[in-house]
Amino acid sequence: MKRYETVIGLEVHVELSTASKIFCACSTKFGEKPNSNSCPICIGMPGAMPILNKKVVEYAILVGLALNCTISKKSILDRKNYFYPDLPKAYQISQLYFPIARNGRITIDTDDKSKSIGIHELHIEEDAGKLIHDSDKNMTLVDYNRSGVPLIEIVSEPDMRSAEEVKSYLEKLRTMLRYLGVSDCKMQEGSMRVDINLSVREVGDTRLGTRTEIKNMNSLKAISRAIEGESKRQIDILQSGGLIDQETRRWDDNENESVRMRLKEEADDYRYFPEPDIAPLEISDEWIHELMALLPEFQDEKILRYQKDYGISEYEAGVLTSSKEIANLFERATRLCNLPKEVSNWLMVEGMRILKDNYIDPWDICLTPERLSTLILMIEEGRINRIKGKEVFEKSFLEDVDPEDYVKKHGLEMISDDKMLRKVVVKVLEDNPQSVSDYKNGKTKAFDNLVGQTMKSMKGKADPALVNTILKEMLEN
Amino acid sequence: MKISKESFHNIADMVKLSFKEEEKLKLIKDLNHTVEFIETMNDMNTDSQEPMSYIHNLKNVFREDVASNAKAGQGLHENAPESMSDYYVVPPIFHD
Ligand SMILES: [Zn+2]
Repeated sequence: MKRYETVIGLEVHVELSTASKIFCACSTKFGEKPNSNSCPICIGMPGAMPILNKKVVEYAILVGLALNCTISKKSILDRKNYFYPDLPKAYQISQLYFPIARNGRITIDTDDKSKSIGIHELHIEEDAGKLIHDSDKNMTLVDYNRSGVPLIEIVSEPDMRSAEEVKSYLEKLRTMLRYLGVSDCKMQEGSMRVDINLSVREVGDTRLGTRTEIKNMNSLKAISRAIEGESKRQIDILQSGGLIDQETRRWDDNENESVRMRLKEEADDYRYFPEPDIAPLEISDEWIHELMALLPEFQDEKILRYQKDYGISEYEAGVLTSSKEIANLFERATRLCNLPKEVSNWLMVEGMRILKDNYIDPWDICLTPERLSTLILMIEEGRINRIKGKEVFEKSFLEDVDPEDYVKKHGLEMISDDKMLRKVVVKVLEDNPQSVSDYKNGKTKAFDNLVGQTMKSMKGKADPALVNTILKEMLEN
Repeated sequence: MKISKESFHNIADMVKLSFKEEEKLKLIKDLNHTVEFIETMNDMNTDSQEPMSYIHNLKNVFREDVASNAKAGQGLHENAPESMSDYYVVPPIFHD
């Protein structure tokens, strides 16, 4: 039996997080009233004059630099002509002949090895509007709020060989784009969309097989399933002696199969030509250098530095640097309290749990480095215990809550009053004779129960170490 | 180059327009006239000419990234042949 390998290249569309659209001053805000963010330019009224948003070019150059691309000295925009109601001008302003950046690469990690994936090119373009199909009324509704929202398209070389490599590439790209602050890359909201170019060939063959394109994927899980499904479909065809049609397909995640959209021969001829309304771009070395100075320290560099500077494990460093927000919180809180292990523990354990439990993103975290450091120092100095610390952490993580104020307002200070605690312990021992005799008969678990009872009657605020000491002392005598 | 009935149908199909038979004949004639007019350029020797994409000498014409069009969209869709609440309405399109 022949052995096959899958060859995958990706086209990734990313919505840039600029305040205004690419060619007009309309807002890019997501989820607004339909057509409220539109104007004669982005609904394609005749005679309207588009003017390029400078930030779009800067963001594209930044991404190009982060992907180790060569930035084009001269770049132009092109008209891509096709007729579809989500495209009000009947053409999309995009780039074909002279994209902003070319020839880059990105290193991905899979299992235990690193691999370099080539970036063919990166260009800017405008997004289209949104169509809503109403089959009851037999009509299609159009919302142009998204029309003209800036996109970059990142085209990789066909260097990936599996769903795992694709996942790793997309995660790497997403982390990088978020570190750069150029996009939120929310796949479920469509701000990161992926086209998969996939072909299969016999292992050892260096020629590329006929490929199919699966359009508009917006979830990592569906992408993995689509790659596995489509590569199996193609291998089955080849094994039974058939040929692959070059075509565009759509992945149906419910049916777990791809379906044909159109054959290549039926494909539109886009009749690209240089966009006469947008003046050509000349990107100077000075401009590139200015932007280069804005590149942040990325995750890979941070992971190495954290192990060296803070003595934490590679795993911990990986989690702490999974987003720019958590990394900043860690670094700045550590600078303030000088307790890297404590800061790391709180963020790794409680922080990650709260993010998960509340389905929120790192950029929604309210906790500031100052407040995190204050909280950790309060615990360190014995002003509150860890149990109450968790409560305060969660509060100030999710809301604009100052730990000092919160502790004062709710009277959470730790109680280390020896006399007072002894009184409480005496009462607990009286109320729990069974546990006391269990303990005396060697059941150590009974001791934990007595600690619990004492903490409970102190509303969780007692100094746990002191409670332990007093209990031991009283039980032994 | 000549616009045949078939290529006219292709173009009309692409731009989603439909025509009556007599309109078609007139439009094919008009289009052919236009193409003939442009074809006079074929008589010129343009071997040494660089293609010209822009009639001006501008470069790097930008606007700053400020969203200031808050009201520009209001009522625009009422200009459309058909609209419903806040939406433009177009003939049904049920494939992606
Ligand atoms: Zn607009």
